[in-house]
Amino acid sequence: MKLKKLIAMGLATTMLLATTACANGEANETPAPDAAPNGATQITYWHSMDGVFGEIVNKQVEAFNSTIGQEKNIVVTPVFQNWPGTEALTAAMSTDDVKNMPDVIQLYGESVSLIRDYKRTVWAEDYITSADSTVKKEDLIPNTISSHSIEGKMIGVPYTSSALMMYYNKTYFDQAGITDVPTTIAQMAEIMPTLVEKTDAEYGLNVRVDQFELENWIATQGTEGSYFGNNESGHNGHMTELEADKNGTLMNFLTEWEKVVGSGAYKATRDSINEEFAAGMHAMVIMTSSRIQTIADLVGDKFEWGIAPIPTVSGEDVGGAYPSGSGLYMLDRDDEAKKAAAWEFVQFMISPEAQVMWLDGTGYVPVNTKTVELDAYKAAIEKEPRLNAPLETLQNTPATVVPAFCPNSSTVGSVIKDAMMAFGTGAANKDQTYTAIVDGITQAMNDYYRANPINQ
Amino acid sequence: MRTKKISDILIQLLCIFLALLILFPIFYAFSVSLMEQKDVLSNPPNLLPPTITFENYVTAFTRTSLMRYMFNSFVIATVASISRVILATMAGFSFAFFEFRGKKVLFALTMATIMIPPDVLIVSNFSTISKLGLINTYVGMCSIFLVSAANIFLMRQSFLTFSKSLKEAAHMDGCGNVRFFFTVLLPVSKPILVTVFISSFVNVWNQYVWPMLVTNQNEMRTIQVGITMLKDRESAIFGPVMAGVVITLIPTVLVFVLFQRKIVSGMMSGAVKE
Amino acid sequence: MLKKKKDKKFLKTMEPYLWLLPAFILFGAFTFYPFIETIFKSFFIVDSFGNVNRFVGLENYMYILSDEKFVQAIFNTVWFVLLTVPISKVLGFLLALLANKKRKTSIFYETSFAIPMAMASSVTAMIFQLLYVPSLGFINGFFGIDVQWLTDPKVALIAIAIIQIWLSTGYAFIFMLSAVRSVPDDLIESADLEGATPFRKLISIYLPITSPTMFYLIITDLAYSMMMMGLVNILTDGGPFGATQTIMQYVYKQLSATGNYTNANPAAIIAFVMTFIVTMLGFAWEKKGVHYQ
Repeated sequence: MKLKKLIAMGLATTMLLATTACANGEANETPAPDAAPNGATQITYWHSMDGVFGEIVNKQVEAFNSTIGQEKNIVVTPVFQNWPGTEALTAAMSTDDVKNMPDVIQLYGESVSLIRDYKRTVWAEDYITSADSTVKKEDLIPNTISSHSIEGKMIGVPYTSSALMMYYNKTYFDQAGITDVPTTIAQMAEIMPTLVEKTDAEYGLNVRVDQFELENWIATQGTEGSYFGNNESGHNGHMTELEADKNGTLMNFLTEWEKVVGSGAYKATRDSINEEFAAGMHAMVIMTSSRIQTIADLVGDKFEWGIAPIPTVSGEDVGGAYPSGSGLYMLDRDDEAKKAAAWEFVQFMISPEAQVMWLDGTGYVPVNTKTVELDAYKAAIEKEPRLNAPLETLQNTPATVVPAFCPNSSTVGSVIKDAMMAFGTGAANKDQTYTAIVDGITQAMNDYYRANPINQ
Repeated sequence: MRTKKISDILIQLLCIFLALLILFPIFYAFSVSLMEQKDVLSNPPNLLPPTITFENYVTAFTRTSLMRYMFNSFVIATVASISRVILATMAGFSFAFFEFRGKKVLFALTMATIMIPPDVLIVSNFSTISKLGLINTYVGMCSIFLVSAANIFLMRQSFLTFSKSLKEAAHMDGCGNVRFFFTVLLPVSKPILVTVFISSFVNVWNQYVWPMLVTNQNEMRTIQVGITMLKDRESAIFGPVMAGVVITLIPTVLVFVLFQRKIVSGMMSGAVKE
Repeated sequence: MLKKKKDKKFLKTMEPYLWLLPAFILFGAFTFYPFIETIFKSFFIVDSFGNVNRFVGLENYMYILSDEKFVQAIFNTVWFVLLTVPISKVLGFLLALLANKKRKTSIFYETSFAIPMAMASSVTAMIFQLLYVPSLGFINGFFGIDVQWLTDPKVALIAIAIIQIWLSTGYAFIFMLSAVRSVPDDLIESADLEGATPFRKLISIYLPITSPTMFYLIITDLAYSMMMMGLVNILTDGGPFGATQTIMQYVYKQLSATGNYTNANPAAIIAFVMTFIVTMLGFAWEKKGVHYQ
């Protein structure tokens, strides 16, 4: 009998809910962005920032809405999309569903292939170079501009930027009597065994060399940087094949990296690198600067640590790092007012006021160089001086050091990850690794261009 | 008698041990949700939080509109489950009690829907829903979950164990099919209906990709999307997301504990004692 | 008079279809229609905007079947199904037999055995991700072992299968428990009188009587496991060395990141055909092995 009651109760609640559901459903049928009561221009902004990063995005949007937005009658609605943010976009694109597209979308470099030839992509170039733009190209870190440009024109603007950096345990370095932070891979390989021998470190170095890491070591070679893919890594025409094999940079890197693998003090897998470094397992780790604050929290005052540019492949290399991260891209939804409003918003998001917010809990580099003049920036740096290192690194790296607009990035990524893992654990030698990377990427490019021929 | 009692206790002990083993991952998630970030992965590993903090729960609620997401998930899970129960009962009834032309083919088609990978259909379905103007509506979010072939199959299996004589006997009494369905079949199938409802509820509650794709407003998002917002992919912080996990588990576990006994009391062959 | 009779007869033949109609309308709209479209498109080159460009016949199929990664994904999928489906069913059955008799603490352990079925696979993946961390994670730390759960190609798929087994055993348990409990007492009593061993009872009483339930569980789980990808997406992204890439994860990877429908469509059709064949084998077994009372 109890069951009957429960079912009855359940049914009653459901009916009630169903009615509210319908009411709600209808109310929402016309999406809010298009039906603004007070005549304000409604802008939809899709991003894929979770955790504390997502919180900051919301703060940035609120700041816009309550200042410029209010002034110019623009309301921005942020919408979270699952990383890497392309799922909903491809669905809307393939059905040309303008109503359910964003005006502004955050995308990572590897997704740019999706929209570079898309008819609705609104290039940022015309806006940022116009006289009334409040943000000028000169305000941005030079290589963040080139990172978002194709044939010298900006397709989007840099939004989140970070640099691949080396984190090292100073306390261990002191214990081992090492005074200089290694600047080349060879130097690094040399001190790794010493560090393991003379300190509690289990490994001298932990880094899993994925596409991101490998590309950095390719791009920072030579005196002016080198390209990972052809056509300037896709920044001047499409990237259709690997270049790093032809210009020798891939082999250069593998040759040097062999020393790291051979040191016997290298961990090639990535498990929980933050916590392991904080627990003193590794003397050095190489990872993105966006984790600086996480590491600072985890380490506390257990030991002293520092942050430095990644060691270079050879002593003559330009070094540094390319700006990794995401950009903001605008889409044309057949509405001029929205397009103009979208630029207002984008402009704000790369202004010093918005960019400085990244320092409140993350290790992102402000893309706008004027940010350093703000008191908020100075205060953040004073609290955590290491946050300045990635900015300096990016500013010192020439504009030719850029991430590739690499199509079929997820497959390319797996190819590199697997090959470098086999190399790092000794399962493959240098030449096998080389072949695996070159062949794997060739196959990935074939896959992509078979489905998406250029000039169709 | 005595040995029987002892073996009874031993079996219970064994069962409780196994139960704790099975519950372990959930218990661990709960424990992590109460930990500070630095204690989550440490050497030696912590099973219990060295210092208890509720900070993660605060974060989970302030960072996302978790209650709203729960409400949305509750609505779509409930609506879809009711629809699944009704449609599965009807279809199961047809497959189990009627002989008709094309029955085999239709049943095979039904079963085929289980084998069709849903992920490749998603873009096409998105286009349908978008053309119908159902983006950002509960109807759109429920749409592809309103019927489940697995449930139809389950109802068929259940009804097949009824003796055919039951229906014939009902007909002898002058009972039409519709009346038989409502007055005889449904009441004796209560446990299985509850089962279908619960398993559907849990299933839809846990859906992620589709509800995310057909909504692009924060207030229409579901709880599973909310959890990914807490995930912190970039810096790998686990506390808030585990707090989110624990919160989302509460409704499903509650529904489960409430109805579990009813499910078990007999679903298939046991439904009718002759 | 005659017409009415005819109508009635017509209605009578139509009746079974009417009961099926609502379900089939939905299947038609959201499953058959898009699936037929997918089959059609699988013979074409389709670009990332979804434009159907050039008819290539079976070329797309040949293309992915000549890709080692995809062939490996097929084998991984089969291996995964073989690992998870039988083990979770056997475990569920054993737990059900163990819990068959109602005891004082039944309510606790029955619920506990079944609870994993309430878990979302994405959430479960995150929990196990933490537990599996080799250096500082709980499992290795507690047992003092050093297993590279998710980075050793020999272990990774098994590690994922363990999670899947954990998830689906609860589901199997709850169904099997009800099936086991429905075994008539008099059957057991008479078997006891004849002095049947527990094993004998298992084979000749429990197994046949619970077979319809078991059949249901196996068939649905076969399809479900063939389509698994959620766990892999979160835990390994198909690696290391493609060791955990399943067919659906291959499809997902082609679709979500690069919009490569040209490869994804035929791959999905192949997954369907494989599942269909396996399920048909299951139904062939239904005739022999499943006993409806």
